[in-house]
Amino acid sequence: MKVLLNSIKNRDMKPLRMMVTLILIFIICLRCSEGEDMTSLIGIPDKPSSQTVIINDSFENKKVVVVGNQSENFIVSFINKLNGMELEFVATEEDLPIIMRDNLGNEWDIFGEAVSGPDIGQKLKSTFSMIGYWFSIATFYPGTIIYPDNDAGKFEGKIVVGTQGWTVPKERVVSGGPGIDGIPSVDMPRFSNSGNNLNQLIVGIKLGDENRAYPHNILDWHEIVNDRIGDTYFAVIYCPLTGTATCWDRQVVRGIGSFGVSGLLYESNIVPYDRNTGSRWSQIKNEAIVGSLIREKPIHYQVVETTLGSWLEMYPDSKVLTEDTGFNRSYGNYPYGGYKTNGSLLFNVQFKDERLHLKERVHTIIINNKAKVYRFISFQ
Amino acid sequence: MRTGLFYILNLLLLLHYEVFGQSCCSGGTPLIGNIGMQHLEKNEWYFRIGYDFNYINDLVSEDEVLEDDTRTRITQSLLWQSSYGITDRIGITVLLSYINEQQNTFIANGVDNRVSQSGLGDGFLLAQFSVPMSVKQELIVVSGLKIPFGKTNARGEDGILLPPDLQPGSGSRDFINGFSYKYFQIFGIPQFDLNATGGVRFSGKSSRFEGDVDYRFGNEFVSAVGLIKGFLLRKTTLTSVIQLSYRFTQADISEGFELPSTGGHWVNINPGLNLNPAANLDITIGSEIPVYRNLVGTQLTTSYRLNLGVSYRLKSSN
Repeated sequence: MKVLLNSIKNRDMKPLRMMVTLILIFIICLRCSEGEDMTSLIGIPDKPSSQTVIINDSFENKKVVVVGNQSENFIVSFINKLNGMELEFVATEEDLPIIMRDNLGNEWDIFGEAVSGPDIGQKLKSTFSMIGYWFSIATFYPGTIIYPDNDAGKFEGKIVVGTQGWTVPKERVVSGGPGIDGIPSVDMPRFSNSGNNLNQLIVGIKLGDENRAYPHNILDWHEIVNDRIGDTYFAVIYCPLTGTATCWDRQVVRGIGSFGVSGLLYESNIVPYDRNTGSRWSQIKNEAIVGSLIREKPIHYQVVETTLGSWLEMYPDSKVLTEDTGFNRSYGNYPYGGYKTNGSLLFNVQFKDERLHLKERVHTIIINNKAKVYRFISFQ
Repeated sequence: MRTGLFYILNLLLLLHYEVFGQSCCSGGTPLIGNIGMQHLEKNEWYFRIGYDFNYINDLVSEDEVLEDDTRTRITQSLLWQSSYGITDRIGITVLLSYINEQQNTFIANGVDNRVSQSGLGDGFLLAQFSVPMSVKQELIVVSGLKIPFGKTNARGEDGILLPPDLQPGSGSRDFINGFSYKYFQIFGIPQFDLNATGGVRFSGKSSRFEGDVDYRFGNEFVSAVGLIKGFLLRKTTLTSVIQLSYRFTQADISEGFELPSTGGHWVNINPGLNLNPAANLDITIGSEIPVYRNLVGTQLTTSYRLNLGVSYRLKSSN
């Protein structure tokens, strides 16, 4: 400061100019850090590895194969069993969607389908798994194991029992504000063959020969897309507060129904309702939590989350959900401000486990109502 | 005049402080804009009963109005104000509110889903001071507290706790400052006055979801400048008012973090009429029409507001 004052007295403006330059650089750095870049997402290093990495693991006495790629921003997992036989997998250097090869000479794609080799056309059983923010997995499954550790966390939590006719404690269910269908689902989705932002995360599905991608920036505003491919009626359900995506069959609701956003949240996670029976469902708990379908489980279709760019590289003919949803929303703006990366929860959860940053995106395998998570940094 | 300037400057200086208020207390009733600041003489009573209808149907993203009809909220409020002049310069005001909140969503099968809630809302306890001015001017400053009488744990028909913006109360104790300034007979024209008002609200800590989440509403600043013209209509005086108002709120703070899609700037036009059928009786009708909004994120906000008020002055003999 003395130097600065002296230089001003002596009319030597160099230190002053230097200070102004430094301040400007600081401001520019700050502004740059505000931009949304996929690499800034928690759990993904600045320079992610471009290699596909395979983790052969076991959980709850089941052999699983977990496959991830940091730069392509995906993790998928399968039960390691084909026709009663355990396989040995290694990563391939083939172009995506081929991700691994086994000791029998099969090559497998990201949806766990053998695309070449003696078992071509066969499918590995997908685990019941999802990608989401760490806090949500930790609160639904207290004591979640974090790979590579095999011990349950200290945060065992309490046994959650339902109350007042719900399978969950009703007092933990809160109204998020907008009310039933206040966040409107997309019921007449339209698709194109491309998207605006290739860095955008998408929820990808593959049914038969058709692939579809549902960008997060649209799902942030609608949370549910009721869709169909041929005779398969399904709903893509995404909770922006827990970052979890699932794809449920719509025929589970007694006939071809549709799901809507009830406006309720259980442990900060979306509670969809089905329009046929009005039953409320929990996405992460994976069942109807109240109503005539109470305790019924949805039928799942596997989803793959990755960037739109990676998805289109894998499936150039894929259809991509467009912003022509029938609703006028600011799809270019993320509606929850700094929520993706800050340490804040809009709705408190019962069990907070801070072994990881609350918003770190993790891949979770759920077996026997227990969970094990895999971090993106494990795939390098 | 110097004292008046001191108060205005003091008020403006307060705006720079990092303290908190709330953007939307008592379920969307902008109570701070509903205080009728009146000069009171010693032992004079002033009563006002008001009705406020706030139609909230504009979905605004930053400064763009999005075409959308999926959700509507209506807030209706009954407001009761009692003021008393302790001296010719000092008075006190109590304002109570009763709120009805209604939210309609238009669900996919074409059915209108409605949630509504009524109850005692928050209230104000204010002290006011009439600053000595020349005969052509009037300056009243008020200061006081907003007291969270309204309940914050109302539940819907399904027994689920309603969201905070559908609760009649805010749960937040706020500190209020405000002023009302009038310059009578501008340009020497009879019954043609200039009016300016301003107010700030700084709120204390609150909570949401029955104490589960620490919460602070964003600071609120409101101001308005307008012209008042009176006409003689047979034996009564009809006064027309046109005001340009500005409202600014900071983002709400939840668990130490700014809550997304809260806070912003609103500019409104407020036309109104005032009928004076008897010496002590006033009937006012007012409205608020948005002309510019620049909001943080995307918010459902006021499309228009209407209010009606009847006030009565009573001079106590002792």
